[in-house]
Amino acid sequence: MENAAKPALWMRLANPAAFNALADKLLWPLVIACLAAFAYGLYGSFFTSPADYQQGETVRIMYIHVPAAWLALFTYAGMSVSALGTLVFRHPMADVAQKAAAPIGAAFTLICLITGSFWGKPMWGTWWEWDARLTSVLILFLIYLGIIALWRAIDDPLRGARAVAILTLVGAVNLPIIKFSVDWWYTLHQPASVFRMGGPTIHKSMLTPLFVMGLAYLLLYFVLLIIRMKTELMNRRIERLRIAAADHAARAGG
Amino acid sequence: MGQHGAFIVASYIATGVILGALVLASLLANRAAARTLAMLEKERSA
Amino acid sequence: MNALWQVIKREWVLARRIGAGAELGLVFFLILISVVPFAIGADQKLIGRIAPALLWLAALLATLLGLDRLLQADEEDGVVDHLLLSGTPLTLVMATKALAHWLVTGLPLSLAAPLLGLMLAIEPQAMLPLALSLLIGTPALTLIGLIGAALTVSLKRGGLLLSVLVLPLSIPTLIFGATVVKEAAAGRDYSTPLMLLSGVSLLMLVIAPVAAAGALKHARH
Repeated sequence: MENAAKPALWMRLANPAAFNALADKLLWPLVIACLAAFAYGLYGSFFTSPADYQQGETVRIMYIHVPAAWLALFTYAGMSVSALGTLVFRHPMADVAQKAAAPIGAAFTLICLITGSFWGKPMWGTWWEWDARLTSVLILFLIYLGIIALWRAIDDPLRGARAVAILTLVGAVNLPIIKFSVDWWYTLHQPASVFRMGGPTIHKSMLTPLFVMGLAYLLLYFVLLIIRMKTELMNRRIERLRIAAADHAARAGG
Repeated sequence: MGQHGAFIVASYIATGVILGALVLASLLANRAAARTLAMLEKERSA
Repeated sequence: MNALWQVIKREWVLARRIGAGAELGLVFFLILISVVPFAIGADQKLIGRIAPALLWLAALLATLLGLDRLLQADEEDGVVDHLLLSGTPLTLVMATKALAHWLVTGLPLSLAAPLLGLMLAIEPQAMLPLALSLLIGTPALTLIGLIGAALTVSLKRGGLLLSVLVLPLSIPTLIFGATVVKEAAAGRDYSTPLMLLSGVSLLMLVIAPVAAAGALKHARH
């Protein structure tokens, strides 16, 4: 098979050793880039960006709130791709990635909710407003929690992976419908005058820190994903070794 | 930072705490798994 | 076709025998409605205003009940193995299961709802839309529930997890269904939410049997 082309990267990554090698190579550059992006983004959001003419200084909350919403959706999109990888392509890394990603997505969704609440208190006068966007994010958070709960409930990793993959895809189909229905429900019930964070008019000087913070979140996502995937791989190997050892002991004893 | 400074600081702190907890939990889990795995490998080769 | 008819008949008999049949579902629905005034007070106007939401919430809860045993009992008895061996497509079996479940929960609720709406002081002109919205919307609830039941089929105590998985997904159905009744009660045109509700039900009819069959197949090996 000398003429055979080198298999595609994602095929080679099906081997845990190959994955670990690539992960180790990528990890530190990613960590450094992530720290740099956070430093630059935080500096920008606190010092260089001006106060908004409507929201005043509270607009600074937007720099951690809006990118968190981006990452919450991005993580779900990634999990849906992993779910397809599990169900259609049977890629052995897909469910490892999905299991590692779920808590990260839930954390970003939680950040989006909490910072939204801290923004809402001074702007709306209440800690929680049944605003269309916040409500949609809340439902996304519930779906994340459901996925994590299902992972925990089924102890066989392979069976759990398939069940979670199906749930993730069903959720992916439903999310646009949920988003649409919540928006639709909101226009029926709420006055349109309520403030929204990061509305249609964002000043240019605010875009740079916003995108840099988004990049910092994204890099952090990848760093955490790699670490958690490596952990999951080790845990699965531990499980296999334990079973083998128990087998061995049983045979020696019996 | 104006009259709402407390809210801004609180939201940044909350974000830091959540992300920090996630990073810490991930690192600790990684460390624990690595240690257990090393122990098991040593037992097996012994 | 004959096999599917057998599944429906069997479901019907089982549902009646274990007491989860139409009557008990209706009693549960009635009880949920009856405790409302005790929680809120006997303010007829207030009750009338939240009645559409209450009836839809009650329908949601009544559908959730018994979902965790919907597939589990068959799984334990080996009925699913039998059906698989007989060559009946699992997707079709799942759709039949949903139909049978709906026949003993959603359908009676929809038919009884106008009567309960009367007790909850819903406007007379909203009675027909109420029944219609439940008739169109409860299949979506059953189908979403079917997915949850298939995902948790291997768990001993999956009932709570099932609710956690199913409830977020049923929010659009709840929104559109309750809005139909609310708009009708206010004397406005309710065709838009009704169309959207039908859309959700149709989409679930396409997705749910496939997803449930996939989940059930994967749970087996």
